[in-house]
Amino acid sequence: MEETLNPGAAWGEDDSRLLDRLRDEQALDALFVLLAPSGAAKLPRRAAVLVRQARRLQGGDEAARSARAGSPGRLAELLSPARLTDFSPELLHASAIFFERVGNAHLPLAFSETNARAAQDALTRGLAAWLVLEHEPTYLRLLARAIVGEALEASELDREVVGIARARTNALAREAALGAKSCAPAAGVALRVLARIGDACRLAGLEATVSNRVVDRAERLRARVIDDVLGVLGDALDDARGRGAALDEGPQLLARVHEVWLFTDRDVAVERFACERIVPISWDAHVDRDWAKLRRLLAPCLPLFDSLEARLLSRPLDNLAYSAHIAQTFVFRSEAEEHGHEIPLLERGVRVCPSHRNARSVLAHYLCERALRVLARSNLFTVRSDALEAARLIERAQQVFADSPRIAEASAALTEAKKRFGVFVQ
Amino acid sequence: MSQSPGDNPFDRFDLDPCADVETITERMRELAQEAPEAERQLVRDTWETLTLEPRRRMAAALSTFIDRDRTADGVAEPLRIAAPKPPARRDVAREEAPPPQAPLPVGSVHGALAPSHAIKHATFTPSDRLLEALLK
Amino acid sequence: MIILDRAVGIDLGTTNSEIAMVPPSEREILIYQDRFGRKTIPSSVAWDAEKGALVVGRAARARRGKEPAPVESIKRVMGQAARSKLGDSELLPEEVSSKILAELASAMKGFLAEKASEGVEMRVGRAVITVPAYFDAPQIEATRKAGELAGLDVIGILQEPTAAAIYHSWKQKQSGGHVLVYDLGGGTFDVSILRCVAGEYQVLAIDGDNFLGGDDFDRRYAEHLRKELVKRGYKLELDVRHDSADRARFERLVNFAQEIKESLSTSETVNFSRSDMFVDKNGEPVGFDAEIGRAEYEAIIADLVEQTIACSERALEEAKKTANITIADIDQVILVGGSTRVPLVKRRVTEALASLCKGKEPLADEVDTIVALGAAIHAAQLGGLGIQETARGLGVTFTSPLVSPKPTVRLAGELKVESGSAATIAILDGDSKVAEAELVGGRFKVDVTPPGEGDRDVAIEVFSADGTSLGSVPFVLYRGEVRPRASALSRAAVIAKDVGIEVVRAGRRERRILLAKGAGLPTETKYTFYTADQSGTVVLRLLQGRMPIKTLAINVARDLPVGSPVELSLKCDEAMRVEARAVVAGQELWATVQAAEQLDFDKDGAVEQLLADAESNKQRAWGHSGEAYRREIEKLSSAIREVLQTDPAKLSALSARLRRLLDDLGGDAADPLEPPLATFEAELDSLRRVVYRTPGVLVGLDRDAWEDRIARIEERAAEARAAIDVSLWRRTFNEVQALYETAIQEEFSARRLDDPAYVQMRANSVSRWRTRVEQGLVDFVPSATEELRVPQNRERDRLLALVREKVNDPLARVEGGEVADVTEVRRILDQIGAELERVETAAERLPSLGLVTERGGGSGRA
Repeated sequence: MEETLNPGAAWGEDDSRLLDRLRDEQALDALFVLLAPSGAAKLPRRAAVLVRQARRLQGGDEAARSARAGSPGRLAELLSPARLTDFSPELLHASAIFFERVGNAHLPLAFSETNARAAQDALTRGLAAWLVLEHEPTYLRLLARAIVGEALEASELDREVVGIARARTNALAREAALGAKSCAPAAGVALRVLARIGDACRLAGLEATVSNRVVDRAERLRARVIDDVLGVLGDALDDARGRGAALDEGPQLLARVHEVWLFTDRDVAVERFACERIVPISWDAHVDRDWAKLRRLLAPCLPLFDSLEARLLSRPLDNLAYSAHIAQTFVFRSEAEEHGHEIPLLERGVRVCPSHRNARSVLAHYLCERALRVLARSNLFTVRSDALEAARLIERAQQVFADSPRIAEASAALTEAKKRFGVFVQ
Repeated sequence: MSQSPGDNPFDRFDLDPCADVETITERMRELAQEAPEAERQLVRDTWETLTLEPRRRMAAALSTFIDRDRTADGVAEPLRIAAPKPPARRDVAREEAPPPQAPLPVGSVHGALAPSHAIKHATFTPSDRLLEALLK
Repeated sequence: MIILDRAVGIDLGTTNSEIAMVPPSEREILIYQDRFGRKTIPSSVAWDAEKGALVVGRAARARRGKEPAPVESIKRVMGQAARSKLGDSELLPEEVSSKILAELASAMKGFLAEKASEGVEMRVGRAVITVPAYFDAPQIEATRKAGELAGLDVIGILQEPTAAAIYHSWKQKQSGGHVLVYDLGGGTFDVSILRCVAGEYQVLAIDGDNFLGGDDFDRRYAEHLRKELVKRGYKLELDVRHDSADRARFERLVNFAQEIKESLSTSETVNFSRSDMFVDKNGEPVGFDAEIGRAEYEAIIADLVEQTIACSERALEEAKKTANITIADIDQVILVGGSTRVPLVKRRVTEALASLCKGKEPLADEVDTIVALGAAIHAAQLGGLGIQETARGLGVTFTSPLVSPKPTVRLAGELKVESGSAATIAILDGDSKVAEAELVGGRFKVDVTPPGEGDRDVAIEVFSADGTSLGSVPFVLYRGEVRPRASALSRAAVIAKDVGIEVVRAGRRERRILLAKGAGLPTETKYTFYTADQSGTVVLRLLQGRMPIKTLAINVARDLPVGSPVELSLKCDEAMRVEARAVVAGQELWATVQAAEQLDFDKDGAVEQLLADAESNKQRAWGHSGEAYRREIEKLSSAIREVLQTDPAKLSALSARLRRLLDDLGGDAADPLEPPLATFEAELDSLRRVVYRTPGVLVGLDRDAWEDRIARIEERAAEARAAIDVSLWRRTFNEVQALYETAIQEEFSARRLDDPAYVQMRANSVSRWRTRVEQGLVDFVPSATEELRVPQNRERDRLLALVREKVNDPLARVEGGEVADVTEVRRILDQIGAELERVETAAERLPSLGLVTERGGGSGRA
């Protein structure tokens, strides 16, 4: 685009600068339209500094020109490299803000997977740029000094500057906390960005010890948000229990726990919470012998227990603490289960916690009971195979819980069956 | 974070992030006088954010686009510094499995251990209830 | 007839009050003065039996020593429900103050009438009244009410130090800088740090003491005098709390102490000689003759002055946090209040504050009237200038100044027309129209350039839509400088102390700040909380600092689900009126702040018991906020001891504050980490013992691996405590519990459950547990606040009934040997255990019953 010039005036430096700026604004607009959702609030005119800085990259001028012509793809690529190594501090700064704004524009639309993904990517990219600036603070220090003059001492200014990425992470945590109450998609995105802050560290090219600190801190913030949400549900469960209404109101509250689990991308803290809470309430159902209620209670969180079981099996030491709880849930599941399907559940319980007394003793009981049933229906034609199966079941019962009183009963029945049919089974 | 770009006080009222407090005050005074009462609260809040505590102004300014070559006073004060020396970064060419997390530097638990007192878990063991029911 | 209506500024002081107004020319500020040139009116009200009427001001003060004595220093009890006897009536503090305000308004009206031109009436109907910066909501509410009772429209409440700073800027014509205002009045002390930026104000810090002023110097010295008189043989062992004659004697001593103080302000020594001050308890006339030196006097009041310096230093710390400034950034220390004339005060302020700032010396300019003068400037800015033309029923309120240094002046304002509909205005200079403008919603904005120099008599003429003139209102445009003035941008009044709400979080009571200290007024804020239980009552307990100022209790259906939203909105206007509105389950409740409930400390030993309670409560406070609690308890306790025998009114007020503080020593002073450290350590210890009891490998880990695991748990726990990381602490504890459960399995497997010895052990432990739970319920002390107490008692009774029915009865059967079968015994113990666990959980929630929580109930679905 060409300016209409006053024919009498000479073309000066100011005019060139103005023209450049107008061109940069055009390119920026095109870029923003590409990356942000439609209808997003426009960026201030000053945002064109992003394009001006990007033009200093190799191929930048060309990319800007293409963007002005309606093809901002190349410019977008230039601004999204795999590593931020080549960016000048000014470009890093403008990038950080730009991608943050793009991310924020997508957040209100995060109920759509595409927007959620776009928000996550943009926010991660923005965070990465802040991380680089935080760890190379010279530029920000100078800029900050230009802004506040002598109003801050050097040490105070420094403290703010080197905490800039941390402030961003805190803001993400706040966003997550705000929306976590209602499992809002935007909050879910914020949690995800925190969970995957390692990606931002990699983009920023941080070294391991620094990166670990950042990741660890983000994890703490995330944990706090999750615990807050779970705390509400915990309070509600406590209140229901105090009124003796836990069995009636529990399933609905536990359905919420399931929602929270999905919302947090299946966080292990939610699984552990479900385990901790379900056990005492399930005991109440057990004491009342109300299997229908027990089944309703357990149903919403079955996927959580299965997931925790899988974690226990793949990394036993990490989740060792919860093996007894999980085993107990299998015991309850077996109680709530249809008759005849208890054994596989109890075997799973024993597998995750081999020393679990209840799981072992109840498994032994059912194994013996099955042995007895098998023997009871035995006839001349099936007795051999039945005896073999019964023996196997009894042997397993013995392995699992030798003190089970039913073993003696089952063994006696087996001996009797062998005698009756004249079967010799080793 | 789930904010519109207008949530940055400099952007909201189109102020120069590098302006000093007097300039900001003059501008905001005009806005306050022209604004209807409902909006005036926002103008006042913004003015406070930008003038009360330098850290807040700094944080707001650093959170928006700054084009130092084109400040309001027209003075070009480039903040360009020498190309930054590479920070202590991983050598990405030799990417390996990430090292395990270093243990956190913490102090030791303070206070002597209290003598154990029977808490209900030690004495009330729910686990035997199920067995008992089954053993009937 | 032209009526000029300009809001006045009033300084309603403890000892003296003043009233002032900025005239339209803004060249000076008119402060009321009597025919002797005295600018203050004593804040005294008395009943004159001869006249059969109340007298106010000097006439009342002159009745000191007579019966009945005047009511003085009423400001010290504003916000309380304490009544003062005046004639046959017993008046509340705001009613007494309203008499003083009415007297001021009437005096000012007369004063202005003498200055007004023919045909012009000066109305004194609107006012800005000042309050100490540290006044809390009930005290401010009482002040505003006093104004309303006096027939005034209170358009604003302004903090005294801010008023002083406003006047200082106005007088010095300064539009920028930092000032520290040290305001030591008769009954209160305030210190504020303010910043002026391009003429606009920001309050950076406020601190003070509502019970520290010149009066306290007088009382301290009066007590000293009393002791001297006792040494000289007079019977003056006084019981000021219970004996009115003794109280009157002591008040006389206070009056004399005041005289001595005032004399020593101008001389190094004073010869005090009185022969008939009053009679002692033996009926002997008391006389006192001595030469009193300034140094001796200063030694007696020195620590009181130091308290003010400590407040000032705290304010500086706060200013550092709010705006990052230090004493070196302060341009000037300004002294306000008659008590700053005391040489020790001036000296200490200079040493500790002024010498460290740019000004070097404190400024003591018009110390008695500076507050009223500043209030007048603020009143002018806030209230504009109203001019009414009664004949035509026209009124205009100018919101812009009528002064300009330049030829053009920008006028803005609002019109009121009694009949007809105004559409446009014109400004006339004589017969010439010099400007015109349209009205928008009754408002106008117009630039006027009157011809010539100097002041111009002009008029504003109002026209209807068809051009018919509806009349005109004359006024004057003044040529002169416009002093720096704040605009609508400034918030001259701020909240001095946080307004917060009590919430429950993880079963603990905590405070949440809704309106932060320093928030400019007006301000409004909205929050959503959620119900945390089904007690049938939702309780919103509003606090200022740590003092409850209002409790809203809403009865709701018992089955209202946990997590139902409770919308709370809080408004605080320029007149510092705090209004709260709550909506839950379709029910709405409004409330304004009220005076604190009167607590009785007259009973013998009541105060002593209170002090003993305070001492033991200090131990309970924990950690950071516990430290703040301890400091406050200590401060109040020592202040109470100080005034035990000298100031019954102050004693009552301080005791009430301390009682409330102790009652509210709730969640935020106790350990915020849940569960408590002792519980955590007990659990960890149980785990350790299982590990050490087990030889070899336990659940796949050998001894070394277990020790390592436990060590890492301890590290995480310590980290959580140091960082007060509630989340990490909880998770670590849960892990320990779960780990114990896992570790105990093997041992548990080997146990024989039908072993009678084991069953007996279980029964004993259940019995002990039952006793603990039952005792806890019986010992539970419900809240002092009725709205909380009722649901708490209801729930406690329910739980006790449950224990009786579902625990005690079956346990008695087991313990009595009525159940023979071991299996049945174990089943009964199981059920009892489950019930005790439920009751214990519910009992833990008792202190916070009815309180709301911040964390939402999920998606809010029922």
